Amino acid sequence: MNSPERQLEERHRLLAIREHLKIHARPESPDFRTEVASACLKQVRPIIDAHAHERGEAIMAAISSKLGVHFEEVRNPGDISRLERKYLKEQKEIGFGLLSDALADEGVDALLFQKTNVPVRNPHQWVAVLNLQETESRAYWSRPHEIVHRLAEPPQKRLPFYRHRSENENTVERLVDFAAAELAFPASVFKPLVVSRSKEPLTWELVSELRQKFAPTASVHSIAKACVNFWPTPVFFLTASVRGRRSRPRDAVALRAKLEGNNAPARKSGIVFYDNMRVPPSSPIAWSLESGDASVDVEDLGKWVTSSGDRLPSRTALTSAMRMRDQVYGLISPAP
Amino acid sequence: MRNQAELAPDERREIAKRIRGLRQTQGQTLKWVSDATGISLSHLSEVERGQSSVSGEKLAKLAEVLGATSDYLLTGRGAAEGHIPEGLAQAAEELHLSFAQTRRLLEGKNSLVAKRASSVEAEWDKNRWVLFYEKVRDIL
Repeated sequence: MNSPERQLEERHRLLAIREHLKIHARPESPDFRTEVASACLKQVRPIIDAHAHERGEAIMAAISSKLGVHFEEVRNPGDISRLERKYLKEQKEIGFGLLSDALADEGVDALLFQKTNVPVRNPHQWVAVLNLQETESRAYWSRPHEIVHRLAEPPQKRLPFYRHRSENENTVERLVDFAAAELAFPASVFKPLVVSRSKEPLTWELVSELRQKFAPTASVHSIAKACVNFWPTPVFFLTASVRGRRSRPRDAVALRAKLEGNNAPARKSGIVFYDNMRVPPSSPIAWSLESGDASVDVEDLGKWVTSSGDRLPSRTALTSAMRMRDQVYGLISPAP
Repeated sequence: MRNQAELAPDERREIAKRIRGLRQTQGQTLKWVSDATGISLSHLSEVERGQSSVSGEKLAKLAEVLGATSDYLLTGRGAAEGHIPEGLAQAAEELHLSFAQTRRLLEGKNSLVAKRASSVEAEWDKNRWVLFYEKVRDIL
C-alpha cells in the first residue's frame, strides 16, 4: 500500500522533476510524461545522432559515459566478489560493503552508488550495478532507465531518494520507464529500421531479426513494444497465460490475454482487447500454448468473446504467436 | 517555482517543524540560515511557520546547510547528514567507534543513493549497522 509518506515523497519527486527539466505540464496532466520524455531526449539527442548507425548498446554506452555513469553487471557471486575487490578493497568505496547484502534480495533490480573518494568535479562518479542473477531480461532496459533517472532528477546526492519498484504503486518509476522507452529505442534510429520492413507482416521472426540487428541484449518484450509502437498499420501485442477471473482467480480458469501494447493506428481501429479476455481455441495463440511451437496464421477476431458475451468486430487478422515459458506472446495485425 | 506550495497545509507544517527543529538544535539563527542558503529572511520565516513554501532546489540547499537530507526534511524519515541515526549511534557506542569512523560509516551507507527494488527497506537498527561495520572495518 502507498503510505502517506510515500505519496508525499513521490509527489515531491514529480514536482522536482518538473522543476529540474523546466517543463510546463503539471504532474497530473496527461502531457506530463510526454514532456518529461522529450526533455530527457533533448539532452542526449546529439549523442544519439552521432551514434545513429550503431547498435542500441553502443548508443547507451555513449550516453552513460557522457553522464559519468559506469554500469556493472552482476550475474553470479563471483561478480559480487569482483566488484567488492575493485571498489571496496582497491578504491576504498565503503558503500560497496552493502553490495552483497543488497543483491542477496532477488527483488533488487539495480543499485546506484555515488563514489565518495573522487573529487567533486570528477564527472565519473556514478556506478550503477545491475542485478542480472535471476534474469537477463532487464539487462538492456536498466541502462536507459538509470540514465533517465540521472537526466530527469536533480543530482542524487542532494535529493537522496530510494526508488522502490512496484508497478502499480510507483508513479515515478512508471514515468521513468516511459521516458526510458524513448531512449532505449530512439525514434530517429529505430523507427526507420522498423518501417523499412513494414511491407512484411509483423511476426516474432521479424521482431527477433530486428532485435539482433539493433539491440541483441534487449528483452523480446521490450523490443516487441517498440516495434509495435513504430509499425505503420494496426497491431496489438498481447501476452496470454492460463488463469482465472481477475476478481476470483480460481474461477473459470482459461487461457486469458493481457494487452501489452498497441500503436496509434490500432487505437483508431475500433478493436479493443479487454483485460483478461479469454483467448478462443481457434486462435494461433491457443495453438502455440498447446504445441509449444511458434505459429503464424489468420484468425477471425469475432471469435474473441468477453465474459459478458460481447464480441470483437468480425475482422480477419494475422496472428503471430510464440510460447515463452508459461506464457504465449501474440502479435495480432487486423486486416485493413 | 514554489512547488512545495502544492503540498497540503499539514504537510507544509510538518516540513516547517523539521526545518525549525534542525536549526534550533544546531543553535543557528534565522539570519545565519538565510545568509547560508540565499533564501530571504522573511521568506525563510514564513517557511518555518508553514505559511510559505520552498522550491526543490531551495529545499535541497536548506538540507545541505542544516546537515540533513531532503528526504528527511520532506518525510522525517532517514538519516540527516548532521545527525547520527539512532541505530548507528548505538552501534558506535558498542563498537567504541570514533566520531570520524561513525561519520564515515554513515557516508558509506549514503553513497548508495538509489536502489530499485520491489520492497521497501526498513530503517537500520543497531545490529544492521554492526554488520555493515564488520564488512568494512578494514578500510574504515
